[in-house]
Amino acid sequence: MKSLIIGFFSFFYQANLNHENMQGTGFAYLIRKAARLKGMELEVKKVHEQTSYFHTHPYLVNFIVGMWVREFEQNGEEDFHKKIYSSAFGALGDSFFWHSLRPLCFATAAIAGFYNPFAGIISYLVLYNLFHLSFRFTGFRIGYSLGRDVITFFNRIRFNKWATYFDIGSSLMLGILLSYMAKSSADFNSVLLGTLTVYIMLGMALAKKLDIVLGLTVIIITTGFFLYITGA
Amino acid sequence: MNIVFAVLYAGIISVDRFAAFNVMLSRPIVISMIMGLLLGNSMECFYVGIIFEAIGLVDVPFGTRVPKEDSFGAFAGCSLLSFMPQAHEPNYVLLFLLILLMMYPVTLSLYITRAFNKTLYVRQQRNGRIYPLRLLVTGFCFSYMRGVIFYTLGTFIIYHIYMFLHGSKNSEMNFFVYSLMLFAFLSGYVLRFLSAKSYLKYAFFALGLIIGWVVL
Repeated sequence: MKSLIIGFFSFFYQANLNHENMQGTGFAYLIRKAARLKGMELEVKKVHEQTSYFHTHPYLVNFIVGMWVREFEQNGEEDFHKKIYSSAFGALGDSFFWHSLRPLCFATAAIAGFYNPFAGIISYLVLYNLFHLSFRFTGFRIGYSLGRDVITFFNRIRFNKWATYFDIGSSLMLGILLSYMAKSSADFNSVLLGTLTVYIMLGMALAKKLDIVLGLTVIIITTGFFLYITGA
Repeated sequence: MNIVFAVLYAGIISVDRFAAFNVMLSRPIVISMIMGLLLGNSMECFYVGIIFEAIGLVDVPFGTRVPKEDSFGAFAGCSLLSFMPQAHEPNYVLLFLLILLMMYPVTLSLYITRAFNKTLYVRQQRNGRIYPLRLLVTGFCFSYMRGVIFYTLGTFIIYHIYMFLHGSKNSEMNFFVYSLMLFAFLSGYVLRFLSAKSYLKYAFFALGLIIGWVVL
């Protein structure tokens, strides 16, 4: 229950995000709440200290909050481990949630949304938040029970491998989406198929060389010109 | 009434992006499908959504990085395709370019929000007493207002520039084919961005192409 309460409050902990202390204000708010739930009242000075620079992945913050409270209770090195885990969980969370889960959810939702927009919205939100909310709502409990060894949980579930598996799934779904859209939204002809193939390869060739918005700007103009002169 | 909902939703998008929730109500594909249902042009909105979503899949908020406002792109694109006058064919090239251009000042508004949050925090720190809850509530409200004001204002400005530049010249173009070509190009970016081993990635992508073509 305590993990659910902290999970709920953590929805709002980023609201004061800024370049001075990043999520520090929200972290101080969360640990004060968490300590109260564990029957402790933090001194004002301690809360002030915790508003200093802190930044991690928002879905994994509760693991750090749980670890911090446990270490504080046992007079451990809560601030030392907070610093270590904030950067480690930032990297872990970014690579899975931002980098890998979003493309898979997008491709899945786009295939569903092509049939029915409502199904698309639901499939994105359900698939994504299944992972998001699981981590958010269990983070405090796991962090508190494992303390400074909280990383063992991520090793046990082989979390660093998830991004690779999901990326392979995303490649498959992206392929399905593209060919299904080509087949459904325009009559099949060899010119269209050839053009789309060239466009994918062009995107792959420019991906590491040109910023995506700049690349898109160039392609918007050239494609518009191409369709204008071909009358497509 | 639906326009009022759309404006209120703009605030939720802004909050969901960085201030609170993070339940992905701010993803362009979700925005486009919600806007499509609200404004009654689901298919066009869907195509706008996949283009801006592809930008967001590559331009991600790693660490403290501020990505470009792909959510605004989807919001403005869907709104504008609904509000364009029916008297002439829309000029999609101009429309997309204006949206991409407007994404920059809207992204800048995010920096303003962070600067505002910083000012509040530093002021309390200087006064010797920090109230985290007050800072969070103020930041939440400010972020909501940023969405409502900047998303609506950005869309309004694009609409008027578009109407001014468009004139009476028609350029008939199949929007769906056009969007599909843009998305195919962006798919190349997304494929390169994915981190699995190249041979696996491309093999599964090719398998997906076959499944999509043959099975679905």
